[in-house]
Amino acid sequence: MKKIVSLLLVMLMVFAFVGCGDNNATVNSNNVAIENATENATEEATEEATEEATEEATEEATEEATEEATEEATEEATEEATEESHYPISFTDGMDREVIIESEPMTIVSLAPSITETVFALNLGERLVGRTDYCNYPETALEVESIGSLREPNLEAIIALNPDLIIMSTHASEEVLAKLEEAGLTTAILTAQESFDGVYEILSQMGSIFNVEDTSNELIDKMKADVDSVLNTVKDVEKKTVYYVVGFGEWGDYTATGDTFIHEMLEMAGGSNIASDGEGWSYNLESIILNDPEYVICSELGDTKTILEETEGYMELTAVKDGKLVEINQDLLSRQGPRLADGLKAIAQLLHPELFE
Amino acid sequence: MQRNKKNNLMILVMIGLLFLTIVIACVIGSEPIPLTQSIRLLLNKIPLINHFINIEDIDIKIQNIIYIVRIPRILGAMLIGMALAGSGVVFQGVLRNPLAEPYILGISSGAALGATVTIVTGISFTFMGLTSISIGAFIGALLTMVVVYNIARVGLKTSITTLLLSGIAVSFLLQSLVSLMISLNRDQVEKIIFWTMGSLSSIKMSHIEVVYIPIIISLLIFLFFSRDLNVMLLGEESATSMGIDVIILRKILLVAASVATAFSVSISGIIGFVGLIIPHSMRLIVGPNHKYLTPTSLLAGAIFLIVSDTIARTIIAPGQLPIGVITAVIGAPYFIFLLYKNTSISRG
Amino acid sequence: MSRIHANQVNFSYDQKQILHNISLEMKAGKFTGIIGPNGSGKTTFAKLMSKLLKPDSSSVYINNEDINDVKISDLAKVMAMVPQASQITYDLTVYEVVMLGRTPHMKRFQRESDYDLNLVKEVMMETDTWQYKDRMIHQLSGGERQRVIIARALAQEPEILILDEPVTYLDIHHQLQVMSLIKKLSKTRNMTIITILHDLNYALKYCDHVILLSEGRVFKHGEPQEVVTKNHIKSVYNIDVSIMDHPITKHPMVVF
Repeated sequence: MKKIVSLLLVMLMVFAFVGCGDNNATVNSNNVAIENATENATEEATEEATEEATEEATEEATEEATEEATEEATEEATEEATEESHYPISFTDGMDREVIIESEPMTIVSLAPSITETVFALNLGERLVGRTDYCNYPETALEVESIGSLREPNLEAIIALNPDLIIMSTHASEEVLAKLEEAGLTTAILTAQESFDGVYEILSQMGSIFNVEDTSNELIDKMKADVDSVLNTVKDVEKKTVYYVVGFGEWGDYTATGDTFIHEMLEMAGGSNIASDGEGWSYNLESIILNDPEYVICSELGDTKTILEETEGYMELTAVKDGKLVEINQDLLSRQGPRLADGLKAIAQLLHPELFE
Repeated sequence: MQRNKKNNLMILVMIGLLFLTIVIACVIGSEPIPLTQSIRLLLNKIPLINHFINIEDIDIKIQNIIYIVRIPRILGAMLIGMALAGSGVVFQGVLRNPLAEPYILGISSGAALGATVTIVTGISFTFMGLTSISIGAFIGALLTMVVVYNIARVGLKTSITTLLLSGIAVSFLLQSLVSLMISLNRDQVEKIIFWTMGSLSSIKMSHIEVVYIPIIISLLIFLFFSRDLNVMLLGEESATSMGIDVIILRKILLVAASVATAFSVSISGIIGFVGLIIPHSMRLIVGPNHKYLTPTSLLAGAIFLIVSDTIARTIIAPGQLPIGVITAVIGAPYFIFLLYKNTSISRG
Repeated sequence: MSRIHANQVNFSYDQKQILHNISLEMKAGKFTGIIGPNGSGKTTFAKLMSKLLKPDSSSVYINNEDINDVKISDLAKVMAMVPQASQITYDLTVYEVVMLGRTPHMKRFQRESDYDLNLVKEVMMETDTWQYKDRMIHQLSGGERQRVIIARALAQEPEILILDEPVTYLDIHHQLQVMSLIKKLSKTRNMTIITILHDLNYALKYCDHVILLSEGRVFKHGEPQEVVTKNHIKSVYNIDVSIMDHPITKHPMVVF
C-alpha cells in the first residue's frame, strides 16, 4: 500500500510540474528535479517493494513449508492409523472358509498360475517365494523357486519356506489344504465363478489382502475398459462362425462347448461358436464338418496347428483351407487372471482382423 | 445234424444282418443325413456298382462326413469286432478255458504301457498313417506277448497253466507301471485314461489301410484251423494221438490272435467284453463246433461293435462316449444274465 | 495187422531215468496187457509208443518202421489212443465227439462223406453208444463216456489201439462192460490192442499176452499164467497172494 501511494504521489508531482510548465528554465530545472525526484522516489519505492516482497515471500514460503510438513505428518499419521486399522482383516474365501489375515503378508506362495500373474500385476512380485511348475508368466516368475505341480505340490518345500500367506485357486485339493492348515500356515483359496466379474472379485480380494486397493482397482478398471472396448468394436459387425479346438485326434474331439466360459468369450468377441449346443467339452467331427466354421482357433503350443492341417476331417474344413486356422495362447483364455481381457482381445483380433488394424 | 442245418442258416442270416447294420450305421449319426444320399455314397465305393452312381450333386460336406468320419469308423468297428471276437474264440479253444479272452496274456496292459510311455514322453510322429501312440501301443502289445510266452516256456513245451499265470503276472506288473507313470504325470492323466477306455472316434482310412491286411490274415487263419480247434477240445493228448501237432497249432493260433488283437488295440485303445462275451454267446447258440462257432463269432463281433460305436457317437450328440463304456454297459449285464440262465457255462 | 516193437528204449524225465533198456514186442492182432506197480513206467511206455513222448535212445517200431520217421498225422491213421481220464472242454454231443475220430482221414475242408457217416454209426453201435448220439457228453456216466471215447478211437480205423487204464475210474459194472467190449474188439477186428491195467485179475482173464514192468524194466512177459504168479507178484509188488482157480469158470485168479 505504501509503495502505491508513494508512486501515485510521485506521478502527481510529475503531472503537477508538467501541467504547470510556464518557464523553460523552470521547466528544465523542474524537469531535472522531477527526474531526480522520480528516480529517487522509484528507487525508494523499488527498495521498499523489494523489501516487502522478500518479506512476504519468506513468510509465504515458511507458511507453505509448514503446511506441507503438517500435511505429511498428518498423512503419515493417518496412514499408520489406517494400516493399523486395515489389519487384521477377515473375509470368506472361495471355499466358504473364514480367513483371517493378521498383518500385511510379506512372503507369498502361489499355487496357481492365475494367482502368480495377479501377484506380479499388483507389483508384489518380490514377495513371491514359491510358485507351481505351471506358473510361467511373467518371465520373472520363473526365477522364483518352484514347489511342484498344481495338484500335488511339495508340502515340505512350502512349509520350509514358511510363507505369510499361501494362495490357492481352482485346483485346490482338500488334502493339500488340510496338511497346510495342520502346519499352521495361513491359506486362502481365491476362486470365483468363471467370468470377468469373477476375476474382478479375485483381484479385488487380493487388493484388500495386501492393502493395495488402489492398484487393484486400477487393474480392474483397465480390464473393464479393455473389455468394453472390444465389445464396442465388434458390436455391429456380423458374427463370424468359429470352432475352438481343445482336443482332437486320438484324445477325442473336445471343444469349448456352450456351458463353458471360453464359449462366452468367443461370443463376446464377435464369434458364433458352432459347438454351443454341446456340453461337457465333448464334441464330434461330423458336426464340425457340417457346420464348417469360418474360423478355427487352436493352441499355439507345439505343432498343434501343423498336425491339425494334416489330420483327416480337419484338413478339409474351409477355415483350414483358407488359412483361417489361427493360433492363440490358450493361457490367456484359461487363466482367470489379469490377462483375461487380453485373451478376449486376442480372440476378437483373430476373428475380426480388419477392425483392429 | 439238425444243429448243423440250423447253423448254416444262422451264418447266412448273420451275413445279411451285418450288411444291414453297416447301412444303418452309415445313415445314423450326430448329424442327420438323408437316407438316399448315404446309400448312394456307400454304393459309390463298391466296385462295379459305382459306375451307375453319380454323387456330384451331394454337398461335399456330407461326402466328407460319410467318407472321412463314418465309413472309417464302421470299417474299423467291423475289423476290430471280428479280430477281438475271433481272438476270443481262439484263446478259449487253445487255452481250453472259458474265461480266456484276447487280453488274458497281458496284451492290453502291454499296449496301455506302450501308449502311456508315448504320451508321457511326448514323442510325436506319424508313420504309415499311424500316430506314435498307435505304434507305441502296438510295440508294447507285441513285446508283452513275446515276454509272456517265453516266461512260460520250458524247453519246447509250454503248459497252459503256466502260460495263463505268466500272463496274469506280467499284466499286474505292467498295470502298476502304468499307474506309476500316471502319478508322475498327473497332467496327462485324462489323455491316458481316454485312450485306455477305447474309442473309435479317431479312426481314419489311413488306419484301416494299415491294419486290414494283418487282421484279415489272422481271421483266415482262425477259420482255416477250425477243425484242429475242435480236436483240441478232446484234450491235448487225444489231439496228438489224432495227428494234431498241438505245440505248433498253439503257437500259430496264439500268435495270429495276439497280432490281430495288437493291431486292434493300437488303433482303438482297449475295448473290453467283445472277446469274452461274443464267443460265449455264440457257443450257446450254435454249439462248440468251430466250423460254425468261428464264422458266427466273427460276424457277431462285427455287428456288436458297429452297433456299440453307433450308440457311442449318437446317444449324447453332439458329444461322444468312449466305446469301451458302451461295450461294458451292454456286455456286463448280458454276461451275468447268461451265467444265470445257463449253468452249462460253468462246466465249460 | 500191425506189430509194434521197442528195441532198447530208454527214457528219462528231469534227469531221472524212467525206462531202462526196454525191448518188447507187442504181437500183431493180440490183446496185450501191461501191468506193474505205480511208477514202474507203464504210462510212460504207452506214451512212447504213441509218440506222445520221445525216447532218449533207440526207438519204437511199427511194422519195422521207426515211428520217429512217421508224421503224427500219418500215425493217427493206424494208431489210436484212449487216455486215462479224458477231459473234454465244452459240451459236445456224443455224435460230434465220435465224428472227430475221423479227422486223421479227412482233408481239412472236406465234408463228412457217406463212408464217414456209416463208419461212425457202425462203431457207435458196436460200443453200444448209438442211443446217446444227441446227448451232451457231460451228461453221460463215467462208463458211458468211456465207451464213447473208445468209439471215437475206433472211428480212426486204427490197426493198433492203446488204452491207458481204461477202467480204473469206473464202477464194477462198467469195468466189466468195457473190458468185455475191448476183448470183443480184439477178437472181431484183428486189432493189436495194448492195455495198461492195474487189476491183475483182468490181466489174467482178458489178455493174450502180459508184460510185467518193474522199476522201468521188463520183469517178465509171456502168457498170463506164466507172468502172474505168486512169486512174481511177491518180487514186484511185495505182497503175498494166492493163485486159485475160479470155482465155476476154472480160470486162474489172484486172491489176497
